[in-house]
Amino acid sequence: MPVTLTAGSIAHRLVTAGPWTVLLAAALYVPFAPDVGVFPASIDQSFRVSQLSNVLAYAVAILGLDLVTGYTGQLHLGQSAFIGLGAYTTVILVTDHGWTQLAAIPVACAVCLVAGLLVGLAGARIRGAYLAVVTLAFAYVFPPLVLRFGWLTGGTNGKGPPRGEGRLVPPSWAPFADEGRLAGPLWVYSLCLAIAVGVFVLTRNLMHSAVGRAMIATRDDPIGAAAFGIDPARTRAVAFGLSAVYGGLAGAMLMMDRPFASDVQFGTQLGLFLVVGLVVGGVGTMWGAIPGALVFVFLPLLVRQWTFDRGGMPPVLRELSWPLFRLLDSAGGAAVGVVFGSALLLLLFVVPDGIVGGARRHIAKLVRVERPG
Amino acid sequence: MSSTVTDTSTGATGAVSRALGEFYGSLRSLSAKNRRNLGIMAAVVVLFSIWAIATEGWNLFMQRVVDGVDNGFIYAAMALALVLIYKATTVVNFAQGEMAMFGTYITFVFSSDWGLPMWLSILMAMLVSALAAAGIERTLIRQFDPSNHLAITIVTLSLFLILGALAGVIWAYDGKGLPSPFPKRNETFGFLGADVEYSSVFTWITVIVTVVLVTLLLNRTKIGLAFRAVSTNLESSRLAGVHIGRTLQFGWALAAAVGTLAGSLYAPTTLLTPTFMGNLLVFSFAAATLGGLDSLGGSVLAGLLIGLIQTMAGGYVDRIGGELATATALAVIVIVLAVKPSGLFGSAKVERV
Repeated sequence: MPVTLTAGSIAHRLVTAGPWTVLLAAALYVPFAPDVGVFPASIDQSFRVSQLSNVLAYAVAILGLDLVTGYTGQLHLGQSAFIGLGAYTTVILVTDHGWTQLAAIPVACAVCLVAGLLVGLAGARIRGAYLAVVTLAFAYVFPPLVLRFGWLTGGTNGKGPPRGEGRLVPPSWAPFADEGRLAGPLWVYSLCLAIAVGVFVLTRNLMHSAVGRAMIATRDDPIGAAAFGIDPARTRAVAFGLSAVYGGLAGAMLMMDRPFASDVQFGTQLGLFLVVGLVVGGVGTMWGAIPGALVFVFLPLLVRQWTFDRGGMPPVLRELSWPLFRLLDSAGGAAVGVVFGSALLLLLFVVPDGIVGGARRHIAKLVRVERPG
Repeated sequence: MSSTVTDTSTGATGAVSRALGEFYGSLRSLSAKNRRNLGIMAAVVVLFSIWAIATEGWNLFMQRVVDGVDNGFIYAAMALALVLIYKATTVVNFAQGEMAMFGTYITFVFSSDWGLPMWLSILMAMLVSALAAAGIERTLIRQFDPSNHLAITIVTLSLFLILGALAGVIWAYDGKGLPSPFPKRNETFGFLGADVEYSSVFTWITVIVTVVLVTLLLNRTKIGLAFRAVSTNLESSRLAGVHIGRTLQFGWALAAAVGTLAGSLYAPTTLLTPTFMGNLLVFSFAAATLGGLDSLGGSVLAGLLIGLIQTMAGGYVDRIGGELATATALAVIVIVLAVKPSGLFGSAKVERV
């Protein structure tokens, strides 16, 4: 028996705002708490905080991917290259020119915007699976390009400032400024959280603007959109450009956490995994980027940790899963991929519309919203 | 298609000549539509060849041609497998390389653990992988609506992960040597100034025969007809009583068998590891796309073209060098697609406004 709420009533607003309040509270609580109980003992607080910063970075990258894949309807496998471009731009400015990461963000975004628009324009006439392969080619070419321009990028040695330098230092007014080893990661996390919240709010507004509606129209019916004066090719190019900015921003955020970039980090594997994260979270749902990034960062990490140490695992799960992990122990590290892949398949079958899509479907069964008038 | 030839010849020679005629006919009917583009391409190739021969001599040029063709035929075989799945499902199968890798390991098991002759191992591995792919289609792909491309793509990505890791668990990551199925191993003969390995020539012949056989299978059998019908118009074929699921299953099985063959032909030239198809896959994607994702003959020609571009660009242009040879091949594809959005030989989609 579903509960009926009137749209715009206080109860309805509470129900809509609830999940995001909880999410934001968790984002503010989990990194700052000494022990949360979910993580294995081998993941200490400092490592956990920096992983959560990475989750925020990848959430921004996946959100950018969603602009192209979810809202404009074009499979995009090359987001890894834009993250790499943003990361390298940042790390080069930090290492060779003594900038801070925050100052490098606008430059990284601008470089990626230009590159994204170029890819979008080059692909203006290409559609569907053909364009997907072009984006894959783009992802594939990025690491060799990094190696080719070794004088700038450091080649196979990677690029980064000397150990201990190029880190962001929290200002003295920050409440965690005297936490020692934790202060740095917590400050980076706070900055990443601020950036991510800003990006999500801006994206929400973007999707309600003419540009966002043009993207959705291009996805649903390109010919119909063209009849209404929307240029599908140009809309697609704009989507690629915008999504590249998100990628560049994500790259800069990754370099805030650990200012070191190497060619192997940003290969085709990353590009494919981000699409997986997007689909797991929910395609065409803005908020899907968050669970998508959580799965992308933590699922392989936890599976790998649990193979060696199941100390921090929830007790029920520990009892249920010990035969599986005993099997994994004998198979060694390679088994992580099997578990990760199988978990993806399982998710795809249980919630084909992603975590957020599936949650919305189930909530809609419980709560019916009535619109007066 | 305007091949209404009444062929009365019988027996094996008749079948082969018919097959060759059919393949040639399909190439000719394709090139008729693309004569201008082929002309431009031929002119570029001729100019480049003259320049290349003039700068570094005839023998090196021929050697690079042979090497390029050698790579190209393997790309072509993998591209063929990709095109089969694309025609069936209009989805690019990201697991194709890992499926081929797994199939090659099955060949390895038959030949080295069971001690069977190499050619029999390959045939049996092709059969096993076809059955396995049919099973995968039935359990994982058919659950989704054929128009839900993203979900099916993600299934193939998951398979990519699972198969890659599973091969690592079962066979570990050390390289295994797979013997060549052909006689006269490591022996070469001179051909117009280049050294050609006998096993290379056998590989080329095998790929060509495979293409001809697959073309025959699609054009001369009932299941082939159903396959072509489904890849042209899914809804109409459903109305006409074609069993969609079983037909797509046939496409997956065929693609897996072709992939296993390609892997087993490629493995003897390198070492068999769980990641040995990685680089190959990107070039087969490129070949399939360049040829037009729904054109069998086009993918073979494009495979050869990409193999040649790769060796030529890497060999002759100093600025490009080894690292960017791959990038050049991919850049060419982007340029070609910008001019012809559905590849060199793909069927252009007409949209009514």
